[in-house]
Amino acid sequence: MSLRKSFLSRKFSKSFREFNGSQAGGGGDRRVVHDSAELDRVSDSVESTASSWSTLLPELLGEIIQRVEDSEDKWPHRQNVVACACVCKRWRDITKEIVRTPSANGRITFPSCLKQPGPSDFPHQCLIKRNKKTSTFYLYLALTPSFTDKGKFLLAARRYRRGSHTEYIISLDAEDISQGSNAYVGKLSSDFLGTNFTIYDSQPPHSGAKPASRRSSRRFASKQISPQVPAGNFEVGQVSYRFNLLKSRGPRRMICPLNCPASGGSGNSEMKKPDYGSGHNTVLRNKAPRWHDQLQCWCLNFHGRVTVASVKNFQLVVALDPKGDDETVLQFGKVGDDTFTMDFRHPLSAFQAFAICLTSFGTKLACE
Amino acid sequence: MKKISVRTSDGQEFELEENLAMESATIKTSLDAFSRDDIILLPNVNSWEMVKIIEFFTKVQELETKFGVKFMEKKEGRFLEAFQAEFDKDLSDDNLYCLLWTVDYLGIEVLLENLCHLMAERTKNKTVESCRNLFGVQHDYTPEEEAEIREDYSWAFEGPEIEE
Repeated sequence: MSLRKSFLSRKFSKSFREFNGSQAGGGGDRRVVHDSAELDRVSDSVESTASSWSTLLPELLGEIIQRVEDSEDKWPHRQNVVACACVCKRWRDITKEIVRTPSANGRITFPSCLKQPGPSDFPHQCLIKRNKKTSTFYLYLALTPSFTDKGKFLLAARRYRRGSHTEYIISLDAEDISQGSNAYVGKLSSDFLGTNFTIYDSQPPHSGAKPASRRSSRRFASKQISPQVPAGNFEVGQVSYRFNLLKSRGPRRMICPLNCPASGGSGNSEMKKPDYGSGHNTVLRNKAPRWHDQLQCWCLNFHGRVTVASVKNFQLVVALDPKGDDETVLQFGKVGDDTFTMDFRHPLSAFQAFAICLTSFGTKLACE
Repeated sequence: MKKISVRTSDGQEFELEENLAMESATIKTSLDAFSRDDIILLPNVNSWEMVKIIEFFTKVQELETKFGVKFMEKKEGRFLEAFQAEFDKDLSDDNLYCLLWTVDYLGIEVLLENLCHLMAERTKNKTVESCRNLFGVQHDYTPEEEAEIREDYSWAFEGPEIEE
């Protein structure tokens, strides 16, 4: 259904609540009891009901918005939650609070959620579609198990050759993927060999953070929406590929030291700022595949989410996890000529996961 | 079952079943303080609202018998749907607004849940402007906030400019 259909605006009829002036006395021998404190509320509410819903108690408004959020947990219906957050400041504050509660665990609602950690329980299943001709990549949140259904658009990236190195610009706008765009969210930069990458966030990870290069800050200053946010690129992670000298050790290795954002709300009320300040540093490594003698190939259990063998496929786990946990934090693999699945979970954000997956594309010199 | 007498703001008296009266935290508090033979005065409740509340509560009891479970224990979707199917079409926005206030004042949880659900359903699938019209709120963003909101909105709706 078209969510942009405009409805006729509704006029409010005058309140038909009637209040008697006095409530004195009761009939017969029965005592009439009334709470005098409530009479004050009567006079307030006569005016408020006569005007509009705008004076609805915040608690009631919160209850209503909470129910919208609970029931519209999947896209595209989750658009309704975004609509609630656009109505006015009071609605926006209430909606933001509701979306940031731990129970809303990693759900993607606003663009800013793309820089918050994914869910702790089940990973978000996403698709990446590649357009080889334009060197563009599109990330979607899968809405069905099918690899061919479109999904909810999340991010787009385009590869640019910059002299001796390569860059991927990442944007919220599929039509406008450039560093100067208001929709620019970050980039990935690689070295000449295509084996070492740095992930940059367009927003500062914490207050006082310095941008990576002053040259970038000058370029963006004029396009900033909010002058309070310093312009520039801020390093939030690295990805390194290592060639295995001994073939018997298996395919290439990946090491990813990252600065991961904090979960949930920590009092940061700004929508656009990711909260790396109280986040943590973590290192991810790829899971070593096992050699399958019969099939004569390296194998990883992708649980049906990867269907085409490719050197690009990988699974990342937390290296040296104190819990000894071997749970896959990011899984990436090919399912079609230009279609890949990306499954990610806490502590990674969608933005970081996408950036890491982008590193898998492209030839890596001196690496098998 | 004992009946509890209440008088609404426009002077009408109602005799409520005790189990309905006890569902209202407000009435229950009054009863705890005073004798059950007293008439409880409800200056914030109009007689038409009282009639509706009795109707709503009767329906909830009917559904609880039908489904064999108390609504507040599980808050199942089928309760909410059945309640909505019964009452939604005849309830104007203004009526719903008044009833939400009243039920909140009376502290009747089970009805508050159902009415909030009704209102949430009416809030969905509206443009931002329609939502503002329905709730009578003014748009109060600064230009910077407005730009951020447009970005959120166009990303969520993946289309061209917001229709105002």
